[in-house]
Amino acid sequence: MEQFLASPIFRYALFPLGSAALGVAVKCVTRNDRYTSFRKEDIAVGIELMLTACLMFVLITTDRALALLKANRRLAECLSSGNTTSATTVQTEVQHLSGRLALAGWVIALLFLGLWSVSTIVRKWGWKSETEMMPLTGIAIPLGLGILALIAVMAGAVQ
Amino acid sequence: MKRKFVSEIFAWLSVGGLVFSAIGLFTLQSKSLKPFDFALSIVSVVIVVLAGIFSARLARLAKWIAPSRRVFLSCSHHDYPAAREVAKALRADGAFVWLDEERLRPGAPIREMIEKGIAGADSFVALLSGKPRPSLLLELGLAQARGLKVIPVLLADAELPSDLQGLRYIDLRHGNDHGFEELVREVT
Repeated sequence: MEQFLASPIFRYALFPLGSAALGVAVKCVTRNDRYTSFRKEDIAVGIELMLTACLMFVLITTDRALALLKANRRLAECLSSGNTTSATTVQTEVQHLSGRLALAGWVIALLFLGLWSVSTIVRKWGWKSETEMMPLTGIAIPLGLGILALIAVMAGAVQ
Repeated sequence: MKRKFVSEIFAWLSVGGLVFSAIGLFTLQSKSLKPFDFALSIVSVVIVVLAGIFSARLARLAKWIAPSRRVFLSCSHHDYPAAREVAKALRADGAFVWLDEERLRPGAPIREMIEKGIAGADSFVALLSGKPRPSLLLELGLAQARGLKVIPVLLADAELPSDLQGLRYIDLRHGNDHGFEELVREVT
């Protein structure tokens, strides 16, 4: 099971597609039942996916910051005890975490830029009428970017 | 004019932002992606984009897989309390009910909305009391043209339009519970 959850098929296909499918299902089952059973607008969950990706990335970054603090403490202990072999390993870990944290600000900025762009595009060009969305600009593009954001966050999380 | 111009500028800026964001995210985060992971990611994105483009077909497919009866309720304004009761009973049994009181908001194009409602319905229930209203004849014509199952329901003593005279009606006069059950059974 663990192997399956760590596999690329789960991480880059089943997880993002499953998130989208679950989002669609939740949107469909919580709709007012005086309207039709399933509408194409139920598929428009791209913005929700992007927001989920943003929040996931913020959590991952917080975890990394905490891991960096711990790694720094361990590095100080190794250096004070004169254990240079462990110190080298911990220093590599610290460098890796620092590198990821240095990029985190940019990734968050890009995620929020994407969120703003998609919401503006949907507002401006995504609606055919008061209740009907355009398939490409209202549903497909936000969904594509939502999945891309989830994949990017998953890819970054395993580095 | 100025506001519209600013809105246009923002809209086009957002397109640039979208492209920049997509490319940037992929460049920054894809370093750990192996060719297989990269291919999987592309496939996932393509699948959802296609799902979005063909969303109308998917919705139709979902309706075909899990069908539900859709009922167009036709009634006059003074029959709304009874129509709400009928709609409640039908919805409780899983039907989707189109009732103009709920759908026609101020400023809505009445004829277009009614045509859409009838086009999406499986059956047409005409709630009748008193003299037939002119709009009933129009709705009835649309329903018959689309081959919908037409069910006349008497709420009170009523004059049946000629198109409905040959059809057996359901009698809901004097709070007829059996008539309610029959109606629910017929349309759901």
